[in-house]
Amino acid sequence: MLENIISGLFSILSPGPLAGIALGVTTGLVFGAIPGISGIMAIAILLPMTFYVSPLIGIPMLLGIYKAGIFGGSISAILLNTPGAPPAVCTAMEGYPLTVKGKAKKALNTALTASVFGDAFSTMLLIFVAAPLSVITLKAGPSEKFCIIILALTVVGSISGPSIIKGIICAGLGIWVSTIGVSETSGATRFDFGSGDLIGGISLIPMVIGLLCLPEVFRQVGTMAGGQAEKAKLVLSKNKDDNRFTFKEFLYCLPTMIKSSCIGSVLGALPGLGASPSAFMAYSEAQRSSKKPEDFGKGAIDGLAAPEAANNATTGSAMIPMLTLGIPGDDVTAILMGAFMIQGITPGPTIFYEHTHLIYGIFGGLIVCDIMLYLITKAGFNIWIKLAQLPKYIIFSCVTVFCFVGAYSINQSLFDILTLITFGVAGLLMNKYHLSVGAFIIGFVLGPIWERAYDQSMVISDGSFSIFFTRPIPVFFLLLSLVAVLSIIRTRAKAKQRLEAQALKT
Amino acid sequence: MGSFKPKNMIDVIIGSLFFIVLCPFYFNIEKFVAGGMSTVTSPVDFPKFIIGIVVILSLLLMVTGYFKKSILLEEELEKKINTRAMILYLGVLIFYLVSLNYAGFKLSTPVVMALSYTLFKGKQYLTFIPFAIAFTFAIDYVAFNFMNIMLPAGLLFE
Repeated sequence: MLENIISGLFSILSPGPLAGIALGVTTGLVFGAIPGISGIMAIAILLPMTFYVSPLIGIPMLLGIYKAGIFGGSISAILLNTPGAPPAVCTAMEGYPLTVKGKAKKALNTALTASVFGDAFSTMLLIFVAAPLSVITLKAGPSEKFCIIILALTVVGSISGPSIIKGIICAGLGIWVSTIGVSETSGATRFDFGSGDLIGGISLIPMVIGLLCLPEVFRQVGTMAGGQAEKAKLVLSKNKDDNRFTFKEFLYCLPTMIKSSCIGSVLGALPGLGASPSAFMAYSEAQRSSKKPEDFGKGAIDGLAAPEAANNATTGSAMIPMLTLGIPGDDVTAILMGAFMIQGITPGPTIFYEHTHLIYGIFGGLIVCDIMLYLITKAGFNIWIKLAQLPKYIIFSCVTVFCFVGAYSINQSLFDILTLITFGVAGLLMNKYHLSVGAFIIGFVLGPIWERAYDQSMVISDGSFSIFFTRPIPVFFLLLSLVAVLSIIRTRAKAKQRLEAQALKT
Repeated sequence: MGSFKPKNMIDVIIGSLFFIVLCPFYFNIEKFVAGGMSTVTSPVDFPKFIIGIVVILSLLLMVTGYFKKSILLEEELEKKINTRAMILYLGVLIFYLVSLNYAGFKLSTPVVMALSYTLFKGKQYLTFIPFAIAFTFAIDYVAFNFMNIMLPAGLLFE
């Protein structure tokens, strides 16, 4: 195996593949960084290009976009509090408070290191344990997936703000909104209220931009016109340690990054899950096990490193079911599968025997992608920071346009813009009354996967709920969920006690 | 006798609102579902289960609102927010939606950018307006040529 890896690694170190990866990483960073325009769009646009180049250039280029697109979403999340992609929601929660404190460079460095760590971790996993792990993940049927989603939903307890009841209500509403439109299993039309536009359901992108970006613009308008105009320029601390991710901090975050990379790698390998549940689950776990859980939401570096490592750790492992079993785990891997098929290569178990050199060349490309992601992002740090240093009247005028273009570009429909505005107002009210926007989004993202798993489980068990309690893996995940819930309740009670003690002191 | 004033009025109102809206919805949910083939599960089962949980929790929120005080940071309550400016911004967004439909992206975007600029108390219009026009055309060019996205041309110009 080592011989194949070395041979593949050398084949990628020629000018063509290296240029392809550099182009892919840069494109992914740019697309990921712009709110509402995601890396997946860049992959779709550049897909036809792969037809004209060798697979050793085209496929690593797409992988470069994929990896950089996920990190790119964190740049705007940290600098502007506008996540470029749903997995960056947790990043914004911890990254933006650091930016406000003048530690934007520290936040970017932490996110970059954690992302590259997660990426490299999952690349190694893909290279060395792809086949054995995929055999295990293949055994995850609908009932197992249903219980895994329950575990993923326990994160709501951590991000629901002052009231856990409000958090669960928001997650429930998010799940309900995800059921609007045509039912996948029965074909029934649900909750369209007579509107033809609602039959297709609510699109994720306009909803996410509306809930996360527009309320921020509203808030900025409100505070600037309310006589609380904040300085437009991004303030960078003059303290050297505030602008870098120190070795001491790296060591402090290392256990969190390893744990988060494991979460991301395992969830990434399970078809249908991916970066968003991984980021939320890793964030929840990091908060639960943190030495300073009270810092979460105020710029905790371990809280920033956890979702970054986890969401990037899904990139390598998401390819495990695709390469070994021919099953695309999510939309991005489905497009990547298309790129293979354009080249006449059918992903599946035989690919490792029929195209050994190419596969290990691509694996080598994944390692080069990680290195390039680190170098290109580092080289462009000042560009991103200068972008955020633009005056607010320019940034938010442009953000308004980006939000509209981002929402419109998915389906090229004005209804999506109406969705954007509606959820923008809803997000504003939710923030005002401490209803968790994050919990709502988690519910919306996980809702369809959960319902699909539920329907399939019911079909398998002929309508009996015993399927969730009689098989070992679902029972294991249900018990794990229970432990997570109890742990969250304990953490919240401790945090409350600490707050009350602080209040008594002051 | 002590007064029966809720300790957290906002939670009581939110809980009541959700309960009043969602309770009738829960009992009439079948009316909002049409068609579909019959399988082991009904297309109503899953959403009804979720709405049921939300209804119960709304009731719980109302009850806890009566007895539990919310932990809110005082600085949050002290924040001075200009609601009028926010409503004006919402007006700008609705204007953008309508003008995109009729006047198209190229015409409406610089106008909307200028309106947002005004709301953000920008004053250098002479430099901002050329920037807004250039930005609009750049976005349109990139969207069309690199992403194959036709931004709205406007009903008046089609």
